[in-house]
Amino acid sequence: MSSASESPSLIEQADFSTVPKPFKSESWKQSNKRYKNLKALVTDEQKRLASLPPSDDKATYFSIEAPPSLRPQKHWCDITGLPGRYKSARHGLRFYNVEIFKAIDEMAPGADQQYLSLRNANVILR
Amino acid sequence: MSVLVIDNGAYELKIGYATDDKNPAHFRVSNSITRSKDRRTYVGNEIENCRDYAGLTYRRPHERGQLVNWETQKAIWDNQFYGKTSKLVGMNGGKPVDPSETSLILTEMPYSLPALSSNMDQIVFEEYGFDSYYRCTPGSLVPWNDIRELYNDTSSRSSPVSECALVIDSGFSSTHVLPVVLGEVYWPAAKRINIGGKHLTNYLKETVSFRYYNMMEETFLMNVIKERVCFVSLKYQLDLEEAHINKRKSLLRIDYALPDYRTSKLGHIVKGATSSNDSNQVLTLTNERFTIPEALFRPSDLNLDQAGIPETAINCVKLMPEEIQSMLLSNVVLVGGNAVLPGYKERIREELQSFSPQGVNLRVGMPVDPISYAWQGGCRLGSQKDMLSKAYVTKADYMEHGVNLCLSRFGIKKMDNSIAMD
Repeated sequence: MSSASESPSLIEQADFSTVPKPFKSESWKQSNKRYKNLKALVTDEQKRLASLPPSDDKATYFSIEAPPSLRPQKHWCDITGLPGRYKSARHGLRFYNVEIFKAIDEMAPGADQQYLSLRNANVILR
Repeated sequence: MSVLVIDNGAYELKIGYATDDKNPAHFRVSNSITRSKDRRTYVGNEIENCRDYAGLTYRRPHERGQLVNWETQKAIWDNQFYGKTSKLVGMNGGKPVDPSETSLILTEMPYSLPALSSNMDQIVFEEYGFDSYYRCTPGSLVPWNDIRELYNDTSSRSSPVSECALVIDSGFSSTHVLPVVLGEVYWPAAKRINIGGKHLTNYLKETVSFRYYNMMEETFLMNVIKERVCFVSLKYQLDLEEAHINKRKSLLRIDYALPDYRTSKLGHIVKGATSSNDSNQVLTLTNERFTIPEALFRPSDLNLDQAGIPETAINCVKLMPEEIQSMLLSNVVLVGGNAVLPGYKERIREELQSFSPQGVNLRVGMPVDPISYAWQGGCRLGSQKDMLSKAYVTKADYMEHGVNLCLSRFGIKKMDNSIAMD
């Protein structure tokens, strides 16, 4: 213990950090995160709004989203893209005619869900 | 004291000094830092000097219309304020912008997140040190123009700002429908559709990549093609059938010669019959020309659960006090980059007519330059010093009261019906 305080140990001699570095700016600091992306900001905003007392009449970033259309939706065949006037009761897939229906009927289990997921209509039960 | 007006769009910023001129000078600057394939960086409009537009990568300060990346934005602004190549500086006799001697009118997206708005206030005052500053949305600047000109209405205007306007602003990141009464947006009725020019370009890019050539890296080129080729169809079903049946001879078919980056930078539309001596690769577009912009009117095509522009506009009008509903419908103004699409105005008028109540005098107006129209409104506001001085926050006030002053002064104001009906 006493010998170490008299002469600097090897590790102290090898230490760079005390050597003066005149080329380095004193004020420079590295920042690892430059800016928050929108996803983080939107989450922050949701938290902030949740902490406020509820009120109906205040416009927010979220409330000015346009509502969905009231017009009847157009239906298209999930397999061919032609007008889909019919819907398979078992699978929920829309189809153009009998020929397509046969193809749907013979589908491997799970394939119908993949078709539905193309238009975000698949139901996932958890 | 000069007044600088910046319409800080996500795709292009519109910048210039406010003057009393009939046609005030302003510049459109690409709001991006671009990197070309040979690893050179171009700030803002310097990209015009690039020789090869293939495979450009963009860094933009905005994300979905919200200004998140100030590092990039500051580089672009600095280039405009102080740069040697800046046209703004050149116009002013080589004098760079001196913020301490300048008032600033700056726009941001309607309902920007409060955290981002206060960032903006801080940077304007603390980084740049502008003398005074007014922050608003582009839509609220539109009625400072004389919008009666758009409808060939010669009656004189008594107030400096148009009383009532329904502004449909279809920009790069999203489309906004804003009812503006006496120069203030009536926020409870404002609506946003999350579809803009960027989505159309990307949709075209994906469609072309799926059907013809892989264009996934060529955003710049696809944007140029979109601007030159796309239009809004007035009879969508008929056009679709026409394009399908008459695929080869249809009038809707356009051949676009792609650039080879030696003889041409942007490519061109092939006129007449395809000439065999044209060595360029040709991209043939038929139904892509109008099915892509159709997404503005039917966002459900892109799996977006929102109504199209005309239906949203009518929804917005119905949320207004009944007395001014018909006034709004007689003062519809179309601004933003997508308004340039041929047929856009006619389509909106047609659909709005079918939605609006009988007996309403529907007037849909589109300025000659819908992209810079909000900037021009800002210029009108800026040249009326007495109006501006009521609105802005000075640096002294900011230093005294802090960021909260800006948030309360420029923030969302709740306007009750009594004010709106004056």
